[in-house]
Amino acid sequence: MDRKVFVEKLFLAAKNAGIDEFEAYFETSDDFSVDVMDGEIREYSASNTAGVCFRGLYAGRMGYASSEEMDEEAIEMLVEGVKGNALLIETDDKEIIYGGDSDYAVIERDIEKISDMHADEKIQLALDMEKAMREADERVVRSEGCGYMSGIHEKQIVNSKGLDVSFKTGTVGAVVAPIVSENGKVNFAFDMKFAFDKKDVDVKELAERAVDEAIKSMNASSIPSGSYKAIFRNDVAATMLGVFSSVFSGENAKKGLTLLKGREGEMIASECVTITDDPLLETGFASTPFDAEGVKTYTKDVVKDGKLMTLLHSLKTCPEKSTGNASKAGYSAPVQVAPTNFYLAPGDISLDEMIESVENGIMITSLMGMHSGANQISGDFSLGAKGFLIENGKIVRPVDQITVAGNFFEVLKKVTSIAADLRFARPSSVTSIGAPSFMVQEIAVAGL
Amino acid sequence: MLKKGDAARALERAVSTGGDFAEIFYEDTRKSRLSQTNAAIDTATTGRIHGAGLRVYKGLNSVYVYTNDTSAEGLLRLSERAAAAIGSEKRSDQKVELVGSIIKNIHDIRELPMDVSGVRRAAVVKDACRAAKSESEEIAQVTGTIFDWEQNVTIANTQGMFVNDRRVYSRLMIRAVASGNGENQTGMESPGAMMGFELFNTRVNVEKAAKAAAKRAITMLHADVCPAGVMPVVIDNGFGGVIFHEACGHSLEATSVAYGNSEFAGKLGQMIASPIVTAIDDGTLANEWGSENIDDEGNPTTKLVLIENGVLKNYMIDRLNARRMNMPVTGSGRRENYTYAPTSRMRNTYIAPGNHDEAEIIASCPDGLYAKVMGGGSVNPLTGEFNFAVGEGYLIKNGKIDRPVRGATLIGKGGEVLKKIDRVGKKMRMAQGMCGSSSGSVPTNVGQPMIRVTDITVGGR
Repeated sequence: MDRKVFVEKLFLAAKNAGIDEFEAYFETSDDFSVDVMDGEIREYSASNTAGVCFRGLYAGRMGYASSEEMDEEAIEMLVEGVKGNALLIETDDKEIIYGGDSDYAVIERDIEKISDMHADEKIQLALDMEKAMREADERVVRSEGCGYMSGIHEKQIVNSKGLDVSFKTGTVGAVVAPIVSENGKVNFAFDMKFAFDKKDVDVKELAERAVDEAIKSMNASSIPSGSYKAIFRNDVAATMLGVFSSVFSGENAKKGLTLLKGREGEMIASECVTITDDPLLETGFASTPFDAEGVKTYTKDVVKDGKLMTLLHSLKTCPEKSTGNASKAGYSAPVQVAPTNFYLAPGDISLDEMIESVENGIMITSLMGMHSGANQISGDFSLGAKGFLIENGKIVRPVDQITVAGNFFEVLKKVTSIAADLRFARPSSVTSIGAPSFMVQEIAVAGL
Repeated sequence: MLKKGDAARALERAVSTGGDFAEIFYEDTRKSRLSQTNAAIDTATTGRIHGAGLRVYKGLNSVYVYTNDTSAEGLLRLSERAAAAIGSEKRSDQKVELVGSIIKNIHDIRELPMDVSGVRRAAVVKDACRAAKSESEEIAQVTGTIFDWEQNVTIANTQGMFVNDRRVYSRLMIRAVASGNGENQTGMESPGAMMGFELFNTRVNVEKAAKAAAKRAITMLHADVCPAGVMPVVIDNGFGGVIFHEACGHSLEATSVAYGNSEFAGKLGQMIASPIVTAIDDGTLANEWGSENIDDEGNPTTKLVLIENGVLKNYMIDRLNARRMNMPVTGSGRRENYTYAPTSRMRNTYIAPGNHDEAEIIASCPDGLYAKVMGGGSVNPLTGEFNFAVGEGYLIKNGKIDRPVRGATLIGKGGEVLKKIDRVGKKMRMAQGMCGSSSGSVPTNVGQPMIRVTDITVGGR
């Protein structure tokens, strides 16, 4: 069924069913990915999908239902679902259908740069990347993945208060994971690059950087347990910030699930720490002019010079002052709170200078087990790690088979310096996390 | 409903450019989720997942395409997209005759969750939250969530297969947060099964599970941080089986073995574990969380001995990797939904019961760690490096369980740990998890009796 006809029929059915106010949230995706191996296609995936989430106020509560099928049967299911689910809700949260703002920001995205790219061109780029990877070093044996991908995503919110907004964005990207081998020992590394334009994804450079990392970290071994001065390299720093970004959620504060609840205005981090949520970032993968409730987005510091300025809010968590951070992790997900382009502000020294300042310590370049060994509620983490040993300002050797343990809130306070090398991690559908490398005065390491 | 004729035409079109095999995976899923935080229901959602995925092979090349548009025309367009990607030959002699079959249903379902009223489902999470909250005043917050879904699939392929299956899952998740002195600790319990709503008055004692989650949160709130170092570790039954799942199971999936990206590649018939270790991956257990009737490639599910008395017996193999490895499929092809191409995955994976007495395992243990409940973990199959979190741990001192410790992580290499298992207890128990991999997140059981590892690196502070 045509989208416009579907919306008309759905809205009419909702009105007739006694739903006072309602809203349809659509997501449409066009995704492509190819993975190559030994000069041949290993995996190839292409898709067109769309889904709708319908929500409405019934008997004073908000009910939600979603569907990937958009036919007459779906309309009935969505309307009945909204009614039935609304009747189950018991919280006194005032959820509202928002009428919209008048001045949404304009974020320029040239979708044609992505939609015009033919599948063959993407396959060729993946093949070029594999070739570059193999040629980068004779110790490269194969890859654990060598892929090129693209995605075009559009969201639209239409509601009974007259709001009708949409935003379309698209990215291309490449990922590569070379496996290297020497004297029977294997090692690997992973790297990726995403952009809005294929010319910004240099597959050769990416392949060479990944191989370099795999070679440099070969023949790693453990180090004695103890407390070490540590640099979290930018990619690892972003992973860390991403995993713990939920501690800045006003929704979690409301539920008592973050220790930052009610601590706005307090120093929660070292003075050199500033963390910004910037939905309007020109180069941001999570940029958006409106949030999942249709509220206009804006840029704000969440932590400024160590002080907690605000938590992130939606209309549901703070009806007076949403920060425009209502978010949906997929069309069918309930409206939650999440950051957009969220990053630790860079300092002014280079990573090399930072390494030179360390007499005795480690640089962490890989963390494992983030989904199990990090607890957002307590802030505690205990994670498998890899990296490099630093002695007298120089990298001495690669390290593996260690864990690093600590508490995120303590880490924030122990940051002593921040480098200038801000880098964004692989974006999720709604959030893009970035960080420069940072140093902490000590971290507990378990090893030998 | 996928019509045989539509499926046959689409499959014919899919192999019209040189492909030698094609398959359609059609899915219509209803899911619901109901959640309460503290005293009030705050989330109630229902959804319908609907779409089809189509795969074409040409030798070892594979193309996967998917869409929500399952009309006859939509499926033909999907086929054309796949056909254009896999080859450029022009053939018109492809004839696919689909012959339907009825598969054997292993799993009795008494109460289809989608037919159960919201009020009855809400009562379950209410009971859970109340029970957890009443455990102690230190329980500051409780979340109870009931998830259920019903997945209807039709799988058709160019070899003439046309089968339907209906999978029903129910799960309760309880998270308790204990608070004190500016700190929070959590305890989780999340029992589930391939069952309907009857789960909550048969296998699962809702109140008991909720109290267990609350007790764990409180124990951990009063625990010291775990000391770091290398030490013997006793891992209890139930979710302790995650050690095998991560440290070994993933490395036995064809997904990594077929490419040589596993430390166990090429080791069939070799001793890869301690001789007291036998490990099994079984999809045939009635109503178990990781069970099936058929896998997501339409093949009957199986019981597979992975390791027998320390010797590697079998890998878990899906259809595409069976070609690559030149070995038969093992009914292990799984995927989260139609948006993923299937690959080899675990089902209910466990270490079989051994001969050691549980009390003796602790009593004879040198000072170390007792991991009563494990958290999740991950592994890199290439190197076998794994890590996982200990949800509830205690120190072992002088052969006795001593004070609780928190924040422990176990790291190591799968192949090494398997050889260091020196005790396997008698009482096997399984627990439920969602396993994430390249074909999405699928329900899996992990399990084991109590085991002991002679030494393992414990991360702590």
